[in-house]
This record gives sequence, structure tokens and C-alpha cells, in this order.
Amino acid sequence: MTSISTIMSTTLSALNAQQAAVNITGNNIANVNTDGYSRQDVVISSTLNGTAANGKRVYDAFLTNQISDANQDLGKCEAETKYLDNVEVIFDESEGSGLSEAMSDFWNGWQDLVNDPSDSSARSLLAAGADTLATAFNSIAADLAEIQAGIDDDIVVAVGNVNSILEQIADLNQRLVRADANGQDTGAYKDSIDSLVSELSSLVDVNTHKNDLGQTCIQLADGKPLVEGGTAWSLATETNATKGLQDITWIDEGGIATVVTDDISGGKLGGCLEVRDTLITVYQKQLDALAVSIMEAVNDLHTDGYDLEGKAGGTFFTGTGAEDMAVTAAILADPSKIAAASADGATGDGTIAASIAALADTLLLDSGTSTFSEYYNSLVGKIGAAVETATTQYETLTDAVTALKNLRDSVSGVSLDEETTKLALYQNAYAAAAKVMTALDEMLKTMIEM
Amino acid sequence: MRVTQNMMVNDAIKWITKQTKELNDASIIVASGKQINKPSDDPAATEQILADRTTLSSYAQYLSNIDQANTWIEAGNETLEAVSTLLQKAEDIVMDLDTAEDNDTASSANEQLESIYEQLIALANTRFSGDYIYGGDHADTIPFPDEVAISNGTPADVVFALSAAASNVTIEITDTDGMVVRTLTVTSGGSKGNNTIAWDGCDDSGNLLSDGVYDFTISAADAGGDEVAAYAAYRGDTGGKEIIVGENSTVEMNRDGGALFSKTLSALRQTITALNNNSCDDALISESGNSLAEAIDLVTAEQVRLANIASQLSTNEKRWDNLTTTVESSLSAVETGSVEQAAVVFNARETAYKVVLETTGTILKLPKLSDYM
Repeated sequence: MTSISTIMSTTLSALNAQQAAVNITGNNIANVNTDGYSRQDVVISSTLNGTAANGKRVYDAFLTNQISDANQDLGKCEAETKYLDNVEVIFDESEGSGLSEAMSDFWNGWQDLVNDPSDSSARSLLAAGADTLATAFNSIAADLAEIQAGIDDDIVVAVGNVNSILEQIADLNQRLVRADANGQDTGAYKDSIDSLVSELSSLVDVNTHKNDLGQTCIQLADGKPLVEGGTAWSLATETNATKGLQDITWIDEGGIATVVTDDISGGKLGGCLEVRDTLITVYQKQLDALAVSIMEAVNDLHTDGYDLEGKAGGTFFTGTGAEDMAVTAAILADPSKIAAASADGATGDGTIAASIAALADTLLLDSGTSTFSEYYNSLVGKIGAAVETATTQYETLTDAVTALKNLRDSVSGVSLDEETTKLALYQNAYAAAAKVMTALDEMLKTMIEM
Repeated sequence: MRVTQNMMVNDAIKWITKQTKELNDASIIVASGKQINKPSDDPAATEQILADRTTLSSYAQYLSNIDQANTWIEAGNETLEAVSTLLQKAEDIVMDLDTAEDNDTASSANEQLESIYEQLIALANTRFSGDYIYGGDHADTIPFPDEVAISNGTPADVVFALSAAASNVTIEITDTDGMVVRTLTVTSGGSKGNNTIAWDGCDDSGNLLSDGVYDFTISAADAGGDEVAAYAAYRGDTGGKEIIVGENSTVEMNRDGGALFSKTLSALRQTITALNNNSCDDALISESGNSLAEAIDLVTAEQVRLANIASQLSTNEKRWDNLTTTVESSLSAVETGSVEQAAVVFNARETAYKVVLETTGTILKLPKLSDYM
């Protein structure tokens, strides 16, 4: 025999359950625009004496991992695109005012000197043209070094961000375990950790796994721990003694730093290192090779010649690479020191100048297959291709990440229409339960008045 | 698949970003008038553009070289024309000599020849844009000096040529006023061809003269006391003027004043000397006449050579002009592309952009379930 009080208690549980369901739905609606929020499904189950509503986090671990992986690639590519764009600007020849033109002008200057070897204005123009060429090399080299320094600044900032994320994750790991022990809802913590891991992935390539307590553990690609339960390690930077650039280090429990620069290949840091250490270094080397071979070839011939005063020609260019290439100061100060003639006193002879002018068409680079300008043009082409590839890849990855996020949203995202429908459902159920309660109340009254 | 409002918004944002970028790219092409605005727009085409620009720059340089060479040729032609006229005149004078029986005619002929000699020297010493055009590679050394300079207290050597060996040579050095400041007697005499005599730069009293240019006159006589012809020695060399007309392709202009003038000057001077010595006979006249005729031939040959070079240059000039046009149009095809096409693409992008905006607007205004409850 069911007593009225039993029915009342069952009805009360129904009222509570619908209220809880409305609460969960409300929570979902409130977080409709929260990044990384996983909606909670209302699970209403019957209990011994009525019903109960619980929230269940709707979540796909596989998708979350995929987003992290894609973020790693996207972060790397984003960094690469950003810095390569800067590199490309340095080699921007679209207005025809770059190194390519400076080289043409330089070689043409020698031809002008051949036309009138004793002409002081031809000499001054050539000296100025050579200076422009050297300066063009200097400024490209300096700009490349500046981009490397800029990347270093970003690396230091990114390492700081990584450390802050690691600490937050370790902290959330602790809270997660505590909340779990207290039987509290841990969905918010899990969502936050997932968001942080995703953010961390966009900075550096890491491996993650869950430990027995459900905490997220993080390691560098080479296995060095970054977060283990509630403990966080940290990364740091130090200046490399030989290169003068920043190395990334991992700090162990004892505070000892180990250089891990070469083990980082993903995320923003990976992209920074790739551009700084691989791409720009290659461009610098090629630029140096070009500068050195121009200097050597010109100097070789120039020292065989004689200047206007009949003195043997000195070195035309000084320097060891693109960075410090310069026209010999004496020549800049007095262009009559340019040795155009092949014999002492032959002021009208331009044989040496003609030989130097002919260097422009000589195949001296790429094992005797390229002229100076062909070599440089192919360098510009190479940089253009690198930028093009990085940009295309960046666009593809951006799309991929958007698609993955949409997939995640498709599972975990909040749909307002869905929630509104459910809200109406729970509201109706609540109203019905209230109706039962009213009926019971009237039944009780009837009983009392009997 | 379950679709949420946020997914639609994310997609809308993605497409807006994409279409904005496309529109921006298209607008850059239309605004700059160039298909390729940075290397990454088309790396291969960028290399092509740079190569084309380098090529154009070298063509322009070849054309400029040819232009300059043409002015040289013009200067050379003018000079040779004048030389030819003078030689013609000298030949006429010499040929008329055999009818000259009295001394008056001889001395007037001598005066005229003397003046022609001076003018020839002046022509042989022609400078063009600061360089002696008949001095070989020695563009800054006067090729046929009749003067000697003292610079910074250091005197130059006196250089002259003799048509035969002489036992007595006297050098009179005069200042700009025509005053004889120094008379040098060369006791060792002089040999046939070029002679170089050192001068200490001092006047007859042994005082160092001030810096400047001094004229000199040579009087030479052989052992028999007969005057030996002295003429201006050639100080230059055989070096020609190189003109770069293309890759590994040069044209050389003759600048050897020695080959062109020395014989003529010597012949003229010998005639003058013979007239001075009163030793002008039929043999000398015919010899002089022949030498002068040879000299005229030499000049004519040089003129023909210049004409040949000029025609070579003009051939090259036409070639570079044509190639410049070809490369320019190839460059513009790659770099500029078609304006119409760019405009059409821009319009298409604009339309696509509008459509995306419209769609996004519609998505954002979509009714919600709650509107109907």
C-alpha cells in the first residue's frame, strides 16, 4: 500500500530532478560561446523512490587529441609564415630597386669605365655603384640578422607562455583530483585542461597521456617531463655562445638546464627554430657565397691592373661576407685608384675594366653553371617558393583546424535550439510534477476534512 | 551530423576571411597593375622577371656603349676629314714645286707647309672628352709633343724624332711669351727615330723655372752641316679603344697615332727641311709627293675602317633594340599580365565577397526556436 507521503516524496524527487535538469540546460546555454566548453547532457534516471537528473559531459577524446596535433602544425606554420613574410620583404625586388639592380648597375659601371677609362665621372659613378652594391649586401645581411633577433624575442615570450600554461595545467590537475574526491563536477576542469593543452600544442610539440587519477601528464617530444600530476617543470632560454642566438633549455628538479633546442620541432617554437636556424641560415650562406665570389673575382682581376697614377691596383672590395662587404676606403675616397688598365701609364686602357665587366656573364657559381645574377635570382625564387609553400600550408591547416573544431562542436558544442527544446521539456515535466503535488495536497486536505 | 549555431558562425568567419583575402589579392593586382607583387606570388615567374630585368639592363648598357662609341667615331671622322684636306693641300703644294724656279715660291711654299705641319700636329693631338684620341692607351699623354712641362718642380724629358742621324742637335726651350729661356746643346747628337733628352728644368743661368708648359724647337744637322728634319715623336702606343657591344663581343677602334701620322709628319718635315737647305730637287719632290699620297691613302683607309666599325655598331644597335622590345614584351606579359583579366577577376571576387556577407547576415538573423515559444 502506497502512502501519500511516499507519493509526495517521489513527486518531490521529480520536482528536484527537473529543476536540476533546467539547471544543467541553463548552464549549457550560459556557456554557448565559451571556447572549449563541452556541453552536459542531462541524464534522468529512475531511483528507488522517484527520479534523479545528472549532467554527463559530452566529449570525444580522439577529436581533442586531433585538435592538439593540428594546433601543433598550425602553430609551427603560423610562425614560419610570419617570419618568412618578413624575409620576403627584404628580398622584394618588385620595384626593381633591390640587390639585383645594384648588381646590374655595378657591372654596367665597369662597362662605362671601359668606354672612357680616364674619365673621372665614370670612375666616381662606378665607385658609388660598388658602394651601393656593398651596402645592399650589408643591409640584407643585417635585416636577416635582425629577423633572427626578432625571432629570439618571440622565443623568449613563447617559452614564458609555455611555463605559465604548464603551471596552470599542474594546478588544474590537483583541483581535478580534489573535486573528484569530493564528488564535485569535474567537467569544467577537464575542459580547461583540454583548452590549455591545445594552446600548449600550438607553442611546442608535446606528448600527453592521462595517469590513473585522470590527470593530464605532458612530456616534451624527447620524453622529458613537463607536467606530471600536480608537478610542473619549466623551460628557459640561454644565449648560445657560438651563434649568439637563444637556445631553449629544460630545467630539471635540481635546477640544472639541459639544451633541448634540437628536440623541438613543432608548434610556434618549432616554427621559430626552423626559420631561424634552417631557412635563414641557408639564405645567409647563399648570400655570403654570392658576396664572397663577387669580391674574389673582382679583386683577382683588379689587383692585376693599374690605376690612373700607374700604381698597381689594390683590392677593390674588402670584407669576408655579405655582412661586412665594403669598397676599399681608398677607392671610395679617390676613384682614380680604380685599376682599369692592364699596364702602367695606359690611362686610356680599359682591358682590366672590360674583364671585370665580363664577370657579369661568367658562370662562376653553382659549380660553374650560374652567373651572379642567376644565382641571386634563384635565391629570391627559393625564398618566394618557401613563402608560397608556408602560406598554402598555413591556409590548409587553418581550414583543417576549423573543420576539426567544428567536428568537436558537433559533438560537444551547445545548440541553443536543442537546449530550448529540452528546457521546454523539463519545464513541462516540472509543471506536471507540480500538478501531482497539488493533487496530493488536495487529497491530504480531503483526508483531514473527512 | 549535429550542427550548432557556433559551427555556422565559425564557417561564416572562415569564408569571410578567405574571400576578403582573395578580394585583397585581386585589388592589389588591379591597383599595382602587376600580376606579381612579391616573390611568393609566383616564384618561377619572379626569377624570370629578375632575369629579364638584368637582361634589359645589360642591353641598355650595350646600347649606351654603342652610343658613346658613335660620338668617338664622329670625332675621329671629323679629325680625319680635316687631316685629309690638309694633306691634299700639302700634296698640291709639293707637286707645284717643280715649276717653282725662284726662291720666293719656295719660301712661300715652305711657309705654307710649315703651317700645314703645325695644323697636322694639332689634329694628331686632338682631344675628345678629355682623352687624346690618337695616343693609343696613353689617353692622358700628349701623343705628338712640341712642348715640355715642369710640374711640381720636376721637368719632363724633351722627346723628338729625327728623320736621319744628326751630329749636332740644339734644343731651344721657350716660355709662353716666346722668349728663349734655355738652349740645350746635345753633344752626342741624335739618332734616326725617337730621341729623349733629359732637361733639368733650369734656364741658361741655372735657375729652376716655374711650373708650366714650355715650347721647344729642335735644330739638327748632320756631319756635313746639312739640316736634318726633326719632327714630333709619337709618345703613345698601339692600344686600341675597346667597345663592348655584347656578351663576350667587342669592337676595337684604332687609336695608334704613330702608324697614322708619324710617316706623314716625317715626310712633311723632310720636305720643309730640304727647302730650307735649298736641296729641293725633282727626286725629293717626287718622293715627298709619293709619301703624301701614301699618307692620304692611310687616312682614307682609316676612314673606311671607321665606317666599317660604325656599320658594325649600327647592326648591333638594331639587334639590341629589337631584343629589348622582345624582352620588354615578355617581361610585361609575365609581370603585368592582362589588365582586362585582372579587372574581371576582381569583379568576380567582389561578387563572391558580397555573397558571403549576405549569407553571413542571413545566418546571424536566423530565427531561434525561442522566438516561437
